[in-house]
Amino acid sequence: MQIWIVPAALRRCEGLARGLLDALPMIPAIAVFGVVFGTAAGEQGLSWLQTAAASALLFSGASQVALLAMWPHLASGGLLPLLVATLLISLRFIPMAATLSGLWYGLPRPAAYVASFLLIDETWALTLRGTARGRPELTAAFIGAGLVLYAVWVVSTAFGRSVPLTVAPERFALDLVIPAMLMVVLARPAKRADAVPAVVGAAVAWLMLPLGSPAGLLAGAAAGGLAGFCQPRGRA
Amino acid sequence: MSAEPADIGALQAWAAILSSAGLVYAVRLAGVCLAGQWGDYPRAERFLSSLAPALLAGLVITAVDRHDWRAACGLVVGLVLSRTSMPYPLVLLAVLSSVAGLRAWI
Repeated sequence: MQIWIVPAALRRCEGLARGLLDALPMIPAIAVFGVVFGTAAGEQGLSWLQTAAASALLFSGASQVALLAMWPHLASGGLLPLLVATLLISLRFIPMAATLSGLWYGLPRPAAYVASFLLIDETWALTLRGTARGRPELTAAFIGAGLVLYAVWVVSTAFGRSVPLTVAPERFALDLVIPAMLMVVLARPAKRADAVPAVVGAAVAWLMLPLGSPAGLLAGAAAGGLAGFCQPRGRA
Repeated sequence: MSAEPADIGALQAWAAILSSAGLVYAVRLAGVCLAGQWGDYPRAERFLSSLAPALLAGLVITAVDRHDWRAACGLVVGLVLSRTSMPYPLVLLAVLSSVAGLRAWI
């Protein structure tokens, strides 16, 4: 019996370690973004504890940015606008979780529910990449990557709240760090990065330039994704 | 974002944080439950895998609009490198250094 259990446990440990190693190159980008978020949280009036709690409980950069954006309007507008914005931003987790269906099957149901907390853009991208390469022990790798990124995110945002940045983030193009990172991780699984999503994404981003880069980038990415969604099977 | 701290009561602040956290987690749980019930999502996968080239194209357009030629070149080089056998950490470092960091000092 032990002969079979030990290799399985070892394989899981190996998967955890691989997930951790895969996530290591993402740490600088996540940490920088976390410090920027912590700085912005301080400017909006969140306490250190509220900033750390937001990171620890949400673990979602986009939703936390929405929280900051809506923060000044809480007193007058109540919670509903914040919750609507958070819901819209978080809806992407549903198709993301769906594409990782094999991951959840590898866990007992309660464990899958707990592990879903670690589903973020970065862990999803790494797991998708692992799936494309046919790697084993993806569940363990997902958890390993998620845990290390979670720790980095919470610590860096709390640090940013304590020691705010003294330079403007735009100077270092920090708004592009996370999208650029995701692009690199995702580029290889999209084997035939066909022209249609790219052209649609470029066109929409160009049209939305007057609204500022984050809005244009998001709209372009969404439009490109829809173009891929509408393509016949086998083309994308 | 405004630089003026917002005047929010503690109760309201914690309600905002906790309700947002609950909502985000509920959506994640819904994703897991639906994945279990509906099985594979080839179209969802195509949607999500199409985000990368679309995002790249948008980033290049944004960089060009800012006359940020180093970032634009870095993104294109990153895409080319990512299609080679080079380990992705090295590709990531090449792109991030080009896009986000070193240009401030070059």
